[in-house]
Amino acid sequence: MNRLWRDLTNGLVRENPTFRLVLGLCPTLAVTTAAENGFWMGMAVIFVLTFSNVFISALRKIIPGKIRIPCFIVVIATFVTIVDLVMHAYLPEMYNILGIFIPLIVVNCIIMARAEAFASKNPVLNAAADGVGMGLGFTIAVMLIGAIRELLGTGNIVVMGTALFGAGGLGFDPAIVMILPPGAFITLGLLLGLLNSVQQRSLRQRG
Amino acid sequence: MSYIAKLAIVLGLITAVAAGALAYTNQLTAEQIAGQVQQAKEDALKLVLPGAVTFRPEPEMLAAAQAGDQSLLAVTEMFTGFSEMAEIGTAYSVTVTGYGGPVALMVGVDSSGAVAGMKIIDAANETPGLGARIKDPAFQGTFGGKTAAKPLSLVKSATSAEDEVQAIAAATISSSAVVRAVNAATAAYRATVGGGPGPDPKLEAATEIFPEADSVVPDPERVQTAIAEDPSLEGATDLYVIMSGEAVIGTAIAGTGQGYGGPVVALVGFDRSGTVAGVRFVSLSGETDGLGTRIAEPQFTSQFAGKPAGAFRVTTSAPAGADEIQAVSGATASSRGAVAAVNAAIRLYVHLGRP
Repeated sequence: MNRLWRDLTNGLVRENPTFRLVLGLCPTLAVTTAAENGFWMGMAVIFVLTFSNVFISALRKIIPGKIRIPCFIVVIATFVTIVDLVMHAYLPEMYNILGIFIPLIVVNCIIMARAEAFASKNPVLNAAADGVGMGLGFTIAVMLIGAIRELLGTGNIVVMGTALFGAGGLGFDPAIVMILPPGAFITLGLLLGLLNSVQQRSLRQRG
Repeated sequence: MSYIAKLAIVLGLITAVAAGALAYTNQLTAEQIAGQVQQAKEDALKLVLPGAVTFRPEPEMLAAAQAGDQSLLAVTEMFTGFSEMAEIGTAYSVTVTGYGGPVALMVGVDSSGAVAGMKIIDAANETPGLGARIKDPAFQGTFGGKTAAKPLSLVKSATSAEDEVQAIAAATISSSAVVRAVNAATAAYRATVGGGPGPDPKLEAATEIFPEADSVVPDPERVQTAIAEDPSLEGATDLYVIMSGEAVIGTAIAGTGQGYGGPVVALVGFDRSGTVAGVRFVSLSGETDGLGTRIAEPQFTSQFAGKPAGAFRVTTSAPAGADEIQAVSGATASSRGAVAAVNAAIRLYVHLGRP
């Protein structure tokens, strides 16, 4: 039980895929123009990551080492296509916004990395916990970046069509650059720097 | 069992199970997805033609109008909307190139000839918070009630005339894409049910090049004869004789070239001495807004005026000879299409013996 809990929380902070492992940056940079985009992208990644981890872990003794990568890709691509079809059918608005980044989850290196580094070497339950944890870590990261960019770039955060800070926003002149591509790099860079300095400080205090 | 066979069997089994799972998911969602697409279109139609409940696609009517005017190709679908008892109006789906990709919208025109409504269907590639604001109800609403009898123009300051639309601040390219799309829809309306095609942009361009002209007389037969003699001249589509009183003061020829995203149509005016009097680009719906469309700006078009009517060449550096035209920077493909269109017109002009 203790081990399961550790696998679940591993992806949240200690090995957060975005902030600690710095994996899967393409969607991280591209879809984080709004907090809500980050949320749905994160949900899609959690689904794909959890199920592909579970299946790859269950099949780990059957899949020969030499063809493990094609097998992983087939499993991952299957779940990504399922997400793609389901989103198109039931969340057309989000499907339009996330567009090409849903199919691109197939080649998201977070999922490939977890399949190779974790799921193919651990039991099913642990792999599921790792998938949920890593997926949540990704979701938190893209939502955080999305919220910062949306707030600074448009002066407001819109969730399910409702503006969180009222129709007028926070009343400052939004910095448009934040929702343009450079804003993604600036936000991610500053967050990485901040987290690194926090970690170093806590290490120094301990040691 | 050999190792290779084992590999093949394992991979084959996994892909077979995956294919089965996907076929099942597809079966479950296909109907919902088709319904979703249909529903979105129906909702948009009902929004742009208030009061209408049934819609009939009009592919033949649209195709007939497009055969006569290539600039209508941006219009992808046309519908007639009916209420319980009467015809309400017509609606048009239009797709144009915006800032980051395609912008698709639906425009309804009521039976009185006014724009009944406009709805953005897809603007997913416009910048969130900037270009994507074309989806704001306030902007979409400004088109309701505008006349469909003539094109609307985009202004950056407050609107002063009925046929003007104010651009969204910091989103001029996206706003202008919307105005172009609405203009394509109203042009399709004029060419189909709106009684008469409205002002012909080629005639307007001809009078712009020759301000002293009293009449512009089209002469389609001479174009057809020339093309029958020499099929390589088919880039030229129209010929106009420019008259001032009784005297012929020049000739104008429309030529087509392949631009960046579609055909570019140029109207080239020639005076009696065989010199290019002026060039106007009358159709460039496939060119990128803000880049390719800059071939219509005087800075580019004025390069042709006053030069002898011979084949022009495109250069990306400063022009060295009289036959060189400097491309618009960042729009070389569009500039090449523009010069090809002008050259097509000039070839017909030379073939006809420089009338």
